[in-house]
Amino acid sequence: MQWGQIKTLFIFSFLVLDLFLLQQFLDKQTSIQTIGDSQYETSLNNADITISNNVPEEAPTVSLITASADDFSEDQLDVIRELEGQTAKVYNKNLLTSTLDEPVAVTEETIAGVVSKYVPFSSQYSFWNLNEELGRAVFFQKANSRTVYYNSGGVLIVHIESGKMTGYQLVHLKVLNQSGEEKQELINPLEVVERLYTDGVINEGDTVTDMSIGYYSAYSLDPGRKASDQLFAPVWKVTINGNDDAFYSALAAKPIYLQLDENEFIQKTMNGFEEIKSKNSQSVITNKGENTEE
Amino acid sequence: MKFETLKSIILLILICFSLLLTVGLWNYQPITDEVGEDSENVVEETTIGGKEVKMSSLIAPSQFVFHRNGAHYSFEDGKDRENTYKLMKNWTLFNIHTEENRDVPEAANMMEVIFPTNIPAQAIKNIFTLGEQDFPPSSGEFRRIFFSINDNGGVDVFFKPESEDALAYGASLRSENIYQLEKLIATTEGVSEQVMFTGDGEKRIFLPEGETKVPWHILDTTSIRVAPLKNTLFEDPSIVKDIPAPRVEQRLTDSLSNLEVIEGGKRMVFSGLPREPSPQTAMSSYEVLEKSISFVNAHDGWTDTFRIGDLSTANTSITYYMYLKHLPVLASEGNIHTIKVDYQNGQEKRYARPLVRLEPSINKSGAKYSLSSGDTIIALINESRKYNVKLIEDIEIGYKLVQQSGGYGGYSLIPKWFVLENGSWKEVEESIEGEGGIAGAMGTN
Repeated sequence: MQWGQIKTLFIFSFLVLDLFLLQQFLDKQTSIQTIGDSQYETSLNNADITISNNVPEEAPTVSLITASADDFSEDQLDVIRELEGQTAKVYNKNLLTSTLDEPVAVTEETIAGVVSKYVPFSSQYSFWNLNEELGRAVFFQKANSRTVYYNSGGVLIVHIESGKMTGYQLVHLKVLNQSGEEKQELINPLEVVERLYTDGVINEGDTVTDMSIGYYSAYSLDPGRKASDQLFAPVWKVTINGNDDAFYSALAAKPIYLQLDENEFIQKTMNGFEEIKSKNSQSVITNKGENTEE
Repeated sequence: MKFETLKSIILLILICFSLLLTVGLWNYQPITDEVGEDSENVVEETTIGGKEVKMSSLIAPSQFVFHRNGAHYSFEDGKDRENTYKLMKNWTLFNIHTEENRDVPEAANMMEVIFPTNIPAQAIKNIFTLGEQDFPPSSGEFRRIFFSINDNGGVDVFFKPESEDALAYGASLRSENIYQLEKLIATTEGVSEQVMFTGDGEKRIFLPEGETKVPWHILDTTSIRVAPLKNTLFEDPSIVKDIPAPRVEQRLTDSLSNLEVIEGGKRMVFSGLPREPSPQTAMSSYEVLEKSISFVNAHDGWTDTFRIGDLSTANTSITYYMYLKHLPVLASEGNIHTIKVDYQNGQEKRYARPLVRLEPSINKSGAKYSLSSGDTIIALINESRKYNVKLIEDIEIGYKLVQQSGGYGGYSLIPKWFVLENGSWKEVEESIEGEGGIAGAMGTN
């Protein structure tokens, strides 16, 4: 009789134990997927790296894009011919260079507004930086509402002399296709921060203030080489302490830190522009009526 | 009674279930990642059908010179050079030590082994067998090895570097191997007397005194497919796009790396950003050698016989030259005779290689070209304004690959005199005297 009661007791206690174990098991199964991220989180916490709330938690899915340097269309050329208050010239049908009749004072805060007043199609470009050392302000072109970083084929460079905008040069890219519909697997923001910390780009005590996805191509072709297309892959732009930007390839297959130098880029692009100008000085379209084409 | 049995069974089941769950909890491993990787890698082809080679087969001397009482002799046939090197690789060295005196040994009888470029001293262990107590050197380099017979009947081995800064090494040859060396130095068969070109006084370049007859050949080519190279060189071949570019036959890119097919599909250049960032570490020449070999081995990239031709520590690049019929190919139309790997921060930055492999010779006639004597070449170089004697590093007979007309991919393998000036091989343009091309070569048969 007593044995029967003990059995009942055992049945109940094992039932409770089994339910507990089952719950543990299911918990483990679901938590394993997020363990990767929480690992980064703790190690970043330990290193005293703060991550702002602006930073997205997950990587968006983005596909690679193909783009090529593009000529201005007739409509666009008409807009250029109508420009006022400046002397605009189009070389090789794809490089617009212009000198303002009256230089306009600009600061880092007001430049976007001034540019939108004088530069046609400036809404396709987003402000990057005012480089005082070289006297140039750089705007990168946008494609699919994301910025194409450091590409000599899609850039607006504003010339600045003693705080005044004197002119600008502009080229643009045409996005050809989305490179198939296949979206790429991108690395997550926390992993990028962790990798940048290991690489010594982010240091202890730093704050990651923003992260966003843009496009980059390591094999940027000269602006003059119209015939060839370029493949662009998504990159993470990581803003550190509100003013420094680091770039990290977002492709899961090849996550690497990209060392991009602004001065070098500006020099290279300006040289490319000079080359186009000297090679195409015979066929220039201007807004001043002295059309030397034909 | 029946109810009690049922209770026992339920209890047993519950106990077993709890045990199962416990074991399951302990051993649970996520399997998500591995599944994805496996399914992708199974079918991809990553070999281009060449060989995987060891370091010792990529390092080979360009010349053996035997010094006998002031006269110099060297093999007439490249095959003898190769066989002698095979013999030498079985020798055992002991008592390896650094050498202060860097002068050329003055022994009356000695053998000088000349390599095409500076070889890292660490590679001594890859060429020779070392004595049990000997550790291979950890730095330094050599361009020449001298085996000289000393007064005690022993053999001193001296590894002479090109540069003044590099460490020089000495060693002794195991006594069992000495008789082989003596036999080599004394050999009179298959060798011809050499003249030494000293240039501005410092150089030791040996050229055959008389004319040299070298066979020429016609070779067929087969092309190497790009797809396996794409699979092995790009991290994720599935995102690689074929995007045309000017002046290039084919261009594959994943936006961070670039593979270009050039020279009418006969050569490719891969350039890529480093796979992972690494500190700015300078590589030793031995590391460049080791890394480049395993890099090319990874896709069985040695599609013909290749040997080290140029190894520079300064800009960390290494060039392997194709060897055909025991001679180096020093020039080719379509630039198909070299494999070159450039390094940056310890990682492959650029890889250039041929996209064709050469097939065995078609002609079996054994026709030979007759090449000018060493004296003629020296006179020509001294007189010509095209050469700067100060910059000349080497003078050698090598092959040039000339494309056959007709466009079926055949190549003529033509022996020529070459001068190595400032790191690049230049063909010596001789005024041909009564020896017009192939017809003349046939005549000398």
